[in-house]
Amino acid sequence: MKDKKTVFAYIFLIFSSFFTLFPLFFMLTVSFRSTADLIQNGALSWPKIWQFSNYTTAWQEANFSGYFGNSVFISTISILGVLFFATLISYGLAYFNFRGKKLVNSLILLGLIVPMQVIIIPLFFNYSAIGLLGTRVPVFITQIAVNIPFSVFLLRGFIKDIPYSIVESARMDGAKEFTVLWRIIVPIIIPVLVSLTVLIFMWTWNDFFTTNILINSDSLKTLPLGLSAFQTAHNTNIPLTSAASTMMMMPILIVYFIFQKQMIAGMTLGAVKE
Amino acid sequence: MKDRSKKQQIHGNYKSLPYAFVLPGMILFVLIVVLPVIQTFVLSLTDWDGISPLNLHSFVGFSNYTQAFTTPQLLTGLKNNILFAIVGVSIPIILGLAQASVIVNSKIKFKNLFQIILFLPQLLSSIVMSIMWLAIYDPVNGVLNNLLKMLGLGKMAVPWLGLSSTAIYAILIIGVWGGCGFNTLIYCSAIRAVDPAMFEAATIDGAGSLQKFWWITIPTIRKTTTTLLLFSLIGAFNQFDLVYQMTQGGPGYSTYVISYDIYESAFVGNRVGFACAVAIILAGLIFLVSRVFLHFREDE
Amino acid sequence: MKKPLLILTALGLCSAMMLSGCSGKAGTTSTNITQVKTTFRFITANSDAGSNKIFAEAVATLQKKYPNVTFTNDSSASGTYNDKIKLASVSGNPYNMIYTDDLGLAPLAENNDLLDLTPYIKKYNWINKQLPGTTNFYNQRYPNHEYTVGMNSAPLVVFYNKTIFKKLGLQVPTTLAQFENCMKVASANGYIGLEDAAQPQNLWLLESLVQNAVPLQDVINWYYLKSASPAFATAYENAGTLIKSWSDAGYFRKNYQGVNYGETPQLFGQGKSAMSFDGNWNLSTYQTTGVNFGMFPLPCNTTAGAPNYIINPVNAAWAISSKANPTQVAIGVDLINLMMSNSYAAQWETTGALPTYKMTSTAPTANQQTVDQLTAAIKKSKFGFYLDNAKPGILDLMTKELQIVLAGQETSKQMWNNVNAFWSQNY
Repeated sequence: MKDKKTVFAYIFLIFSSFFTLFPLFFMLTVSFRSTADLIQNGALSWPKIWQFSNYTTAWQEANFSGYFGNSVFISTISILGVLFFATLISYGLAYFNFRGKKLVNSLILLGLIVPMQVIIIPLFFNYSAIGLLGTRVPVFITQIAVNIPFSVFLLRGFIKDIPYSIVESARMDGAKEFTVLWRIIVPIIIPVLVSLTVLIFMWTWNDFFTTNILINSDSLKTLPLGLSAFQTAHNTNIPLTSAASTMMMMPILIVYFIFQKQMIAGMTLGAVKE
Repeated sequence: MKDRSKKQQIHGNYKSLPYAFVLPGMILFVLIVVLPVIQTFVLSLTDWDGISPLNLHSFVGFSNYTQAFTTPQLLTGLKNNILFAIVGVSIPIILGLAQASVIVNSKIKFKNLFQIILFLPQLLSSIVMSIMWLAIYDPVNGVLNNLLKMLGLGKMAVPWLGLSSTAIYAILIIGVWGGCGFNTLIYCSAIRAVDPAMFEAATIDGAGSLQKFWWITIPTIRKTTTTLLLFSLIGAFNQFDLVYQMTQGGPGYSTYVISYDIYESAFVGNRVGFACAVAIILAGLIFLVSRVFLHFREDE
Repeated sequence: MKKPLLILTALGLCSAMMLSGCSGKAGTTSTNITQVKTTFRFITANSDAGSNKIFAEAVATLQKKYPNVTFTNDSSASGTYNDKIKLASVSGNPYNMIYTDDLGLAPLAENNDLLDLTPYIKKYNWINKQLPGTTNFYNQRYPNHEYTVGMNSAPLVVFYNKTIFKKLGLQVPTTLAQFENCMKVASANGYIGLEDAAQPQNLWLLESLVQNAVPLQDVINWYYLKSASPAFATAYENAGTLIKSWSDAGYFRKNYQGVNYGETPQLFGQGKSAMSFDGNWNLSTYQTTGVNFGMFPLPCNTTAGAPNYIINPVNAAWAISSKANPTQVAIGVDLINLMMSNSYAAQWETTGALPTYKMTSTAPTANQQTVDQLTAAIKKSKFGFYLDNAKPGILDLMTKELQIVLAGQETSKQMWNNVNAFWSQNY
């Protein structure tokens, strides 16, 4: 006999899940309908004809593979860059004392607070002055720089809990610092690195604001930008735009389902420990 | 104290080596993040339009700031950002906490499944969300109005994004819908991390589950709450994507947010100096809010 | 802590100054290296298939004359072309040739980024090859200079449902009062008087009304940022009040404030709307709706037979970069000359544009019938402006202020005050 509390729990959670999923589910059904069907029979009716061609049309029209390639490129380089720099910085902050350490710490903290909107205008003009604006370079450089504070924040919390004795004995054995980092610390922090990878992948993949300002030509667009342009061109064709959205949502969903555990672990580490 | 002994131990002769670790990333960070902040400030004192040459004549002092505070765009934007900061932050936190505690503390099955489902909106790009919800809010073919008509509530079928009284709330709902899942996830782990011994002791003392929740769980996860609040608050002031994609600040100025004012002024209106002033105002706001927040956190 | 702060501030000032170096001065194309292999980069405001075909053909012709030149057409999706142009100019690598609207050209001209085309206009007699007023249309902004050569116009017209008109016994209106009556009768009989959306039709209605309520010189003075006469102010306020009365009387679709402009042809296509106020670029979309429709110019004149100004601006104009080398300038001039011909004008017609070139051949094109209808419809009307092109950023302001008036949240007078305040600023 289930007690009242459990029943209530089920009702509450099913209700919440329904509201969470409904827009997604709706978009999915709409993506299989035709515009005529949508207008005639209303938004809530079940599709009578399943128009799978929406997906093929959207694929062809939306230059999907180009946008996909750009997104992969930018996300991959951003992840590698962030992991590289953030690991170095966290190690430096954890195991060294040096002049300016306090400044670095304050800058990192400040970096968590500064929003993109405050820096994007001069960034735009700086990049154009250097002549980088027709490329993807400004995007991943910016993504790397902007994600360093959070990554250092996360890594620092984790590294703090590593017993110093491990490093101490390595140092006393005369090991070089880079060796200590690479052979001892990195293997230990791999779980956090994995979570960071997934998080940064998610953020750079879905980013719209920064990319929108720094990228102008169609061939360099990422998926969110491509979808935005697609929407502007086909904003009355709801089924077609829904099909395009569903396709563009897929990569991140797949990554999520594969790496769920690590993502969850990574985010909770940062918020709970620090 | 563990910390002190650590400091003594790592204080070695590492002359310039630390810098090799820290400088590469920090130089990149300073160039891309810190430097532009200063540049924005300097630009905010000019009337630069982004196209003509910038010279000493461009300097106009603080007139951009005084002008900004008299425009409806900034004032409405400010009001909307504060609305987001209050409603758009508190509701997801409360809901997130409620969902998390139900998931963790009840005896239901499929806990993981619920967690996964509730987190899904976080994975969506803002553009996907706006496409989804535009289809829902469409006054002619949209789900919401069709649903209302079906339920006989046709009178309530207004243009949600077309009326200044409803537009900002329509966007706020999307923000809440999208932001809840993150909090739920974090709270799940935080609640699980509460020491069960405390609960046992409380049960022995005869405390009911609601009391246990209020007096044990909530204070223990206080740090998580403040962290989530901080990130949510910063997010509330950074709102841009949904406004840009769905209403472009309209109808009228009712859905203007400060970030949108910055974008519109700089990249459409060619008023770069003015936009930078608004950006500095935004930065000042966020800084103020974070300071107040971090002050609260220190008091633990 | 003082020293780092000083360093940072110094860095900041230096970099702010660096930004100035990147606009206008830097990037002067060194012509020595590029003598053998030149590039010709141009960008246009049109990226539809029809326009692309026209440009491709022009490039192919020019390629024969200039075999060593690489041609690139950077036209992109609507809305972003002016951004790209601005960007290119700022980063010191401007496009050699541009085809865009007033809003995109004005900042460049002000910054001396455009070549004065007066000698070429005289040499090739472009003014007389086009409908009167075409070349001058944008150049009025720059006294004593002629930076641009206009091409094609984009009129706004009222599309009307012939079946509904016939059923209700309505005639094509030729005065403002008659137009209002059409809306009234239609909505009284359960139809939608005028298909409308959140934007931009209401602003277009306002602009049409204003331009017909004041002397032309007042409009020109306001548009070119010279002066705002009291008559103009009154006309602007009255227009706002009038449109609000239409909205309140229910002539527009219920919930029009939430309708997306892109849906307008579709909604008109449902057959329940008597009229729709839209641009010639949507002509083909209206044709696909299957509704039996006709077109007439929006009658803003109060007495029958009086001149009626419709918004029919020169769509876009050609301009050559002041930094182009002699070869690039020659190519640009050749391109304009190519476009000033019957064959190209006819091709422009097929894309839905209205050529401003005085066509002398009468070979029918695919779209001919509808375009002929359109041309005949607007024959007696005069060229008017999109007032919102007066300066960057004013479109957003004018649109939003009108929305606020229509929502009943401010008076028309307040709207004018706000618009005028923005218009008066030096920015």
